[in-house]
Amino acid sequence: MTQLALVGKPNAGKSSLFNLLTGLNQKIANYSGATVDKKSGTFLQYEVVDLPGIKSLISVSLDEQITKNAVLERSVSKYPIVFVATAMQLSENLMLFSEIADLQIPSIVVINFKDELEKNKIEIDINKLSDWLGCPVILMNSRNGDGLNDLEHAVKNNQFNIPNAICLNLYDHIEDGEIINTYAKKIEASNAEKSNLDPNDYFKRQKIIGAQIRSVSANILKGNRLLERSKKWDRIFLHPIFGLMFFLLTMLIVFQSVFYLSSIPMDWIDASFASLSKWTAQNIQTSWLADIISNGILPGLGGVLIFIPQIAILFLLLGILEHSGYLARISFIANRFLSNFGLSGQSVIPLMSSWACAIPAIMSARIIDNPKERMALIFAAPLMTCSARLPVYTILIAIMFPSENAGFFNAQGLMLLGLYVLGVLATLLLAAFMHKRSGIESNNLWSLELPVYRVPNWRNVLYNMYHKTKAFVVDAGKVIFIVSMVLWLLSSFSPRSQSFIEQQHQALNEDNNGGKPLSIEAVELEYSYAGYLGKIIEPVIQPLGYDWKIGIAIISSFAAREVFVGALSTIYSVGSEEEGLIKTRLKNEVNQKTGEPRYNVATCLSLLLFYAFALQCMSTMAIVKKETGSWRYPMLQFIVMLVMAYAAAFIAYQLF
Amino acid sequence: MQTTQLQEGERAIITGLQGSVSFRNYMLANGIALGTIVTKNYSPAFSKLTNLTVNGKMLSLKNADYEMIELVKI
Repeated sequence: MTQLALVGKPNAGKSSLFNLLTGLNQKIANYSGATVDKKSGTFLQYEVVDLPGIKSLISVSLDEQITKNAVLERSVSKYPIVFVATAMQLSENLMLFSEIADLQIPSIVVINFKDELEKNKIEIDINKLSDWLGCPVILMNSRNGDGLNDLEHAVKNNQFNIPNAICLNLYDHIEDGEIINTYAKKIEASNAEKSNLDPNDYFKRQKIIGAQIRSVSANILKGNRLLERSKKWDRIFLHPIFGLMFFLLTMLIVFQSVFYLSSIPMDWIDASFASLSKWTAQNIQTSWLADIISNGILPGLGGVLIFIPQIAILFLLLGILEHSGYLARISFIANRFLSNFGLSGQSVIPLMSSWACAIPAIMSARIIDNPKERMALIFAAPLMTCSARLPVYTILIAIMFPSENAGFFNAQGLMLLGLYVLGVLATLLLAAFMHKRSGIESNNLWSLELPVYRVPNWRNVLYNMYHKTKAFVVDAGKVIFIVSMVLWLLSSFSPRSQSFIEQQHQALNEDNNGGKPLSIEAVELEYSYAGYLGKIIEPVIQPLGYDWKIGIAIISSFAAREVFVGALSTIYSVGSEEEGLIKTRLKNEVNQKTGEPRYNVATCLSLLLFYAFALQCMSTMAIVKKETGSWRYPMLQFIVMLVMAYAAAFIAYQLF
Repeated sequence: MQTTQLQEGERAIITGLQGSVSFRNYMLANGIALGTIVTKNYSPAFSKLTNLTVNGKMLSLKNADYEMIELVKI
């Protein structure tokens, strides 16, 4: 099937057009050698590919390199493209098209957002533009499909034309009677640091094109009210005081909504999987099969699916902010503060995403132009308080600060807020350290395009939410599921015989002197492979105030920190993961050596700090490996954060 | 002229661009090219950034980068 690529500047509406052309019939893969999403789908006789937005063929970011290479390939293969331009920035968009025109690629030009033209009384002479460019020009609106029939007709009838070369004479030369197009070669060889493009040539080229486009635009483009309106709104949204207040209010609403709106569906998913586990345990006759399904597969699946509501709601809200144009203003506002830590406004989106989950945050760091900043952010982002830390924090804070002691200022809430602040500070400081010491070359390039304010396109917002959530479930889900299965195996099998375990169970209960009887599951866990691992690491974790049982929970949660609460509930034979029951059991747990409560303030604080700093997320490490191309970075990240976690937990336990 | 002399709402034409090749290529990719007309937009104090309208789009540049652009007020 012949490929048809959608090419255009960022925010030109390519993805809207792609969604319109292909519907849900899309595949998302990675480009070879990179982790940039490659979205493809079918439309008529073509495989449509949505290429990342590009500012110019001399652009440098990771996303843009992909598009640049794809465009250069098409200058040889002559596969067609649909160039998507926004009418509001026609001159700017046609500047990019002129570069593509000089590569002589068969094209159709789509002038997008027809509705905004009409609202702002902007007129475009399509025929004149088409004559000048030498290829079909179609006016349409990718939001509601207006003009889609014209595009469909042009594509169906293969009306792609090689456009008029605009500036080719600057680069061509004649060799043995043949014209050699040196432009493609120069573009191919250019990159951020070592460009063989003569900058003077490029200035001349831009000057010629600029003058030509402006002369045509002067006749076809009149007025731009939306831009002027956006400038007025910016006086409020970028204001040093009002802008900051609006930003903080927006963040408050976003994160309150993420937690508030997701609580009911998360509870429902949790309860459904608990019921399903119970049902399978009771109704499947083969015991090992019932055990693997009810204690291995279903908890593993549940551990992935329970995060869907939070991730979907976060991406829905971020999508609304992005499509309305406000997210770029947040980057602007935060730039000054972040510049103190070697970061820029481009890091805001990844940092904010980290509050839900580090995985989409690390993936979204691709938008950062500066490789040094990108790597510093990828390294530090897992320290932000992600949603998986919440169950751990909630239960430990509840033990530390019983609700009956809470005054007007709720100590539990303040402690939770303190942990969020700690996460932000730790992230920024580690990012600053990595920025100074990483040794990665900085290109120091940064700019921010402020799009005009628009009412979000709901279809695009929902498509975006759907695909991002699906990517989490499929990519991270695979890792979480596999690790859950491994943990089940380690917890379910023992190097000891069943008769030995039963003898130990009986002996321990006889020695219990009237205390609550230990369940056989607790003894089985103690003598499982996981139990032995817990005892092996006990000498190492003792200075932090932990025993072997906490050691098992920590080992279990190295794959995913949210496993900690579930592991504790199994270890202490609660038989339920309800917070209240676990909390009571943990409060009553006694340190056999001292006779004091095992979960005192020192141990709880030590555990909180351990979980605040340790990189206990296999999925995050897998994503970092994908994004950086080797295991070196995630391994270093794991070690650095483990050292930070151990040191902080040790100090906290020894001080209190 | 010094770029900092441009006030909010004033227009100017780009007459030159200083800096390394990679920096100039990056700026070219953002539409900062010779002969292009720019308008200075609202740029809040203390933000370290300057907002411009270039070819119908709003662009935010670091103050240090903005000062590398040579402009003639029109």
